[in-house]
Amino acid sequence: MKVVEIMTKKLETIEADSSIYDAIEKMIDKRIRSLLVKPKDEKDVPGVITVRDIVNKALAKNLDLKKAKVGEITSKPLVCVDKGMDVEYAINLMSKFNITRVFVNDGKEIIGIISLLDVMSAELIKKAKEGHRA
Amino acid sequence: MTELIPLAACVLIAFGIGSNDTSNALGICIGCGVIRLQRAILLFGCFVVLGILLQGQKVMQTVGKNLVDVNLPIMSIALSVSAILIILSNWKKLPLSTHQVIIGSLAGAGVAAGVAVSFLNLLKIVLSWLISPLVAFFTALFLYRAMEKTISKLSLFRIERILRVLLLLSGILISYNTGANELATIVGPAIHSGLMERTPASLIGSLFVFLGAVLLSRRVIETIGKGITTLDPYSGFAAQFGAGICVLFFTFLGMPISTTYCIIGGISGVGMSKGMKTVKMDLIRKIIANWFLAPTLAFLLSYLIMKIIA
Amino acid sequence: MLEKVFFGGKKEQQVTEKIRRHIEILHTAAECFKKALEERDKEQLYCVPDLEREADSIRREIVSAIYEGAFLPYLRSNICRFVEIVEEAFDRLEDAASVLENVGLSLDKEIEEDCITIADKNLKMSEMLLIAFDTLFGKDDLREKTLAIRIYEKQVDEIKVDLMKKLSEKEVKNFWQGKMLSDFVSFLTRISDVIEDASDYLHIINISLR
Repeated sequence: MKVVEIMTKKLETIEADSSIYDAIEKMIDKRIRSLLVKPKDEKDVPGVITVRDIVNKALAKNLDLKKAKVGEITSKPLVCVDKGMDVEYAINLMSKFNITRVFVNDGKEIIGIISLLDVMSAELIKKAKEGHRA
Repeated sequence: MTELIPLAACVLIAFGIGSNDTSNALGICIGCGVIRLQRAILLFGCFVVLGILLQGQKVMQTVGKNLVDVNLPIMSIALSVSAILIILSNWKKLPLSTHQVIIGSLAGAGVAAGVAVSFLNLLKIVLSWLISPLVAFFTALFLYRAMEKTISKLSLFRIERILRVLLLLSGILISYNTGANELATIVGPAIHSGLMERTPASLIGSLFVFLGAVLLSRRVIETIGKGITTLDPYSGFAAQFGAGICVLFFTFLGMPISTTYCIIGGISGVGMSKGMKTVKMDLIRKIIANWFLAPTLAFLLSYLIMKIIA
Repeated sequence: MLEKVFFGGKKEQQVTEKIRRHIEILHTAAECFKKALEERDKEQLYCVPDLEREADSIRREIVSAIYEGAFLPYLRSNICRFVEIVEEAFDRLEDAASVLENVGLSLDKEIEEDCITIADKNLKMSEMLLIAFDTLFGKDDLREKTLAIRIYEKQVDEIKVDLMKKLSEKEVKNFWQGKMLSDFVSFLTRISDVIEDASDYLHIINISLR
């Protein structure tokens, strides 16, 4: 299975100088746990902000959510997999960096995101289909 | 002339067994659609004959000889009283065990006539009445658990096929028991009092059971069959077959016992394994009341009548 | 009579084959619906009502065969209910197809993409339903298959949330255009719910005789 087959194409983004509060709102409204942080300019690279980042780096440290910026707690650079790579590769990457999602890129463009939940669902479906043929 | 009375009583009771107890054997099978009514009754008839011919002797001997030294007057009164009580109870729709009534009235008449009544055997019989539902309870429980471990694991289709066969087997077993135990209880005294030879008596008895089944059992089967199959076929089989094995066991020992109570025991056993009480307490109280009431009543009546006549 | 009991199962086999065929037709209809949507081809859409008619008549055959004596009575009503639920999925698919025809197969690109994704999930769900049904008669575990179906249904739900948002921001020319668009999305998303219901019924049938 290639990552491109099971990734989510829906990518939510946020500006680096938005407030953390904005980020939280977006996550809650869209029911997602991570946001792609847009690069500030051509020299910058995209980053990611996750619920884990928010809880550990902002809430636990009692930052002022409305004042603190997303850019302050963004993780950079992104951990990416090329779209043609196998899902196993993505799983290894996630376990190596202890993260729960990786981004999928096609060349320089980020085209999707693949999370542990996506992997689990896809594996289950594959198992259900294969068990049948066995 | 006096021979006609016990004969008529026998025939009547046999007829009653056919009309009422066929449902015990076949209610579940028919309700589950495993077999059609007419074929079921035919099957029932065949196995009743087989049952009484192959294994009826033990029970016949217990009831006819070992309990009370039966002679013609004793038998006439006992069987007539039994027949009347059974007809009355059917009419009033009260459950009454054929066995208990017959044993009670035989004992009553025997005591009144001053004939040797073996209280040891009476005790054995009463004990069997008490123990048999419990044995059925545990047999059914054990069977259910065993089925859970084996048959449950198969695919649905397999289970459905297997259950059909099993339900039929179970019905056959109960039919067989009806001949070997119930019918034998009636026919026993008739044979041992010299009224008839064993084989013709067995055959005639079976014939009337069959007639009762053919003519009158339909309504009972329809009502009871529907009631029993609120129990799913899986549990139904365990309950019924467990009861059947229990009755077979006691038939081996020559003890006349009630299939109905064993089936109730079996159903309770299966119900318990699911962790719930399927038999309500007041039903159990009614059953226990019956246990004492039926034979006692039969005993007293026969005793009185014997005393009056003799 | 004894043969019927021991070696029979012919009636049951026939019914099983018919039910399989019924689900297969659903799968075919879902496939051609998705294609019609992708290719914006009105002609292809006509396959749906055609197939629905065929499915309807098979459903009637199934129900009458069951009540003519297939399967233990204990199982019968659950099996019939299962077939009826599959039929309901068909009806929703047909409804979606007919509204799509009226809407003229012209949807906004964003909305169209999501709809195609949902149609694809429906297709995969119907395929999984067939696999799940087969497990009743084989050695496979039904749980895996019904879980897979539920996973798909959750995925459709997620897309639905987004889709509804996009729809609410869309401008419509008139009430009817809006209603038809809304109906279309409703029918389309309902299909996955119905297939999930069907798989739940399979689970019920499976455990009823143990």
